[in-house]
Amino acid sequence: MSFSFGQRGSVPQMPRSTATGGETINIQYVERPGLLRLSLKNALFNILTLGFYRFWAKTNTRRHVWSCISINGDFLEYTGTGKELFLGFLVVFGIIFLPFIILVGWLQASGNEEIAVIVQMVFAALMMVFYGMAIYRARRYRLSRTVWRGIRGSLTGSSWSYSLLYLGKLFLGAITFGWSNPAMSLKLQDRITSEMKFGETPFLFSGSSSPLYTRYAACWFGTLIAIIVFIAIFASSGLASGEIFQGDLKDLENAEGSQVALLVAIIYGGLFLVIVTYGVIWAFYSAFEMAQFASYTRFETASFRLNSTAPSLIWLWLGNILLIILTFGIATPYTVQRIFRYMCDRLEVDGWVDIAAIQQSTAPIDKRGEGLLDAFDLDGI
Amino acid sequence: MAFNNLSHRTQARLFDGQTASAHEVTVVVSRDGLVITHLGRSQTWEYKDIQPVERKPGPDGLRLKHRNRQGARMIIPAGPVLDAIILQNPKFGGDFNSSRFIRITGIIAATLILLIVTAYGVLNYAPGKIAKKLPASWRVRLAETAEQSILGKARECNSPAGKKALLRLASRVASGTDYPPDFTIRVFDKNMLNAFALPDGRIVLTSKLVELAQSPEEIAGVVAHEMGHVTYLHPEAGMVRLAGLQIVLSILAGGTDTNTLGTIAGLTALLRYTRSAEIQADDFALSTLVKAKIDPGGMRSFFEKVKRLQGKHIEGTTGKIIDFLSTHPVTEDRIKKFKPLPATQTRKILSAIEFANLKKICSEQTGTDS
Repeated sequence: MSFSFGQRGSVPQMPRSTATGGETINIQYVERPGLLRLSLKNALFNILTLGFYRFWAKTNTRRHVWSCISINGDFLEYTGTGKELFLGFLVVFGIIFLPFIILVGWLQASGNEEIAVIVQMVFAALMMVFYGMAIYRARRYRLSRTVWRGIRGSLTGSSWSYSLLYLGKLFLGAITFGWSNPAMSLKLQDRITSEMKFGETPFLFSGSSSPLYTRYAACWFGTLIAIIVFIAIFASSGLASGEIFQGDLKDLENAEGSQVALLVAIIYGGLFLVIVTYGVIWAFYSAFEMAQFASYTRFETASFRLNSTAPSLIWLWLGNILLIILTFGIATPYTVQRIFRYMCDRLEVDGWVDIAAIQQSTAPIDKRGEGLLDAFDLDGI
Repeated sequence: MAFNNLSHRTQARLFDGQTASAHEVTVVVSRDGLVITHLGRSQTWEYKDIQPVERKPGPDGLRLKHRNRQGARMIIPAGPVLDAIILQNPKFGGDFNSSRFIRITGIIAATLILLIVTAYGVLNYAPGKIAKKLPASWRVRLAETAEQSILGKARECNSPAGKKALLRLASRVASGTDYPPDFTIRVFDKNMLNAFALPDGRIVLTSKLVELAQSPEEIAGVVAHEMGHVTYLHPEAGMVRLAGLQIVLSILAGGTDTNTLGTIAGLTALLRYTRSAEIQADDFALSTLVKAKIDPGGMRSFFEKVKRLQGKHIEGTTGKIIDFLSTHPVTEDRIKKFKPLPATQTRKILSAIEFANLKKICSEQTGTDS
């Protein structure tokens, strides 16, 4: 089913199912002009304000991308503001990061180095707790600022309990060498999806993690092989013994400029290669997991099918990395568009939803934006 | 403006903000607002309560929201009614909005000014004030941190005769100060040409610098300059500035990254004083040398020597990360300041033998020798 959106005054109508009183759901990404202008404006203001514009830049991007997403011919609307994101950042920075920086600085300067190290370790542990919370709160903020047909979304659970679950995932993943990850990812997805609502209508999630394990095992052993290969290359290249350099690298300040440049190039080149290899291997799992999670999700009687494949995911991901690197970040809004277009293009919804019966959300609205998430810089969306 | 009700009438979609159902309504443009009729009942959305959701009309028309009705949306399809609404409220059409532009420019300018003022305060004004308030134990701590990062494992040159000559030279310099500062002075075996003042009054010369000097007066000039930094607590202020810089950078970076930046930028930020600090130290050095009856011409010839070496450095591409020039830029102004004194107004600092001992401070070493 397709609409011609450009036509003047066209009002798309979806077929009604007489049996259930619901409508089928069609999600499309309809590009609008203005993204280039927006990208340049964001970049310019970011430079002028030494990065402080980033909250408004993010908001501009979301507004644009949200407004390109059509569900049954009606477009999404992002109602968040840059000010909310900025205040969220200020609060998080003021109550978490600033006292920590001052405390550690004071401890170091006054000679209590051991205590400073302990404080830093405690802080790192705390950050792990906050990480899950940041994900949850950011999702909650975005849902509450996403409006379709005048109705907004919400996330009604507790970010604390989600963050504990997230911590559990990290902890179990560490002691099982990652083998608990599919099961825990499913639990996290179950939690966040089941607590998600559009208006007053909840999303439902049910499914098992066992189908994930075949793919997971393949990727896990693939990673193991890759690690062995990398170590073999590293050991045979003479890098490990430092033969490649003529001088003594420990005395960096006496090193030749060209040697330092070579070292930096090798470190960053190697790092890039490792990241790409890792990303390519795990794209096979991620694509499968995303599709599986989508198929476990319900909204009223509607079910979801996400046609996510590893090659397309790799192209999406690598393309976005290259876009950011090659344009020095100016193309960031395009990377966000690519992510959302990927989802919209590949998401099919089966079944019916009684749209007219969806009630407005009664969930309270956060006053501030996703401060924690910004601090962690979890994603570019 | 006269309204012709019949021509300014259109079908529109209304979402009431209560449910997701779409209401097909008739909209009529009136003087005060939009009269919306649905199933025979009418209501008016006054212009003062209406705002467009997007800056420009979208593919399905212009989406309006109502100030007092949360979630309510009305989509006016393109057509004569939309044109009439835009004519009435030019802002809705996505035209250049000058008041908005002025507001945004103002906010950005204010933010920038605030940032610059804060940064200036944090980096220039506050460190000097805070440095004076630091307790002695903190200064020792700062000195040890700085020493570790700058000198690393370099060994101290400590031939007894050389140290004796060095102390003699330093106390001669200190005799020219009004209030002799608390200081220690040491030479480290380091393959770079430099001299530093660290917190806690620690003055450090490198073996290269001692080797390069052709007279005690040259070394005395450098020592007097570093003594100036010590007296004005420039090293302490530098460390405080570094801490402030870390906070500023971490704000810009978004909260993470509290330590990595410090280690890289730290060294240079620590050693490079502000221009005014350098001038202060130079002036201090000059008056101290004159009062101590030491010929400032030594400082001048040392500067000139370093300046000649500068050219060689660039040709030879031996890109040393830290050298004297990067931390003490030598300019003509600085050289000119150090005018030689007539011989009648100066006294020798060290005997020829003592100076020879000082030059050999690194070579007579207990333990391994390079």
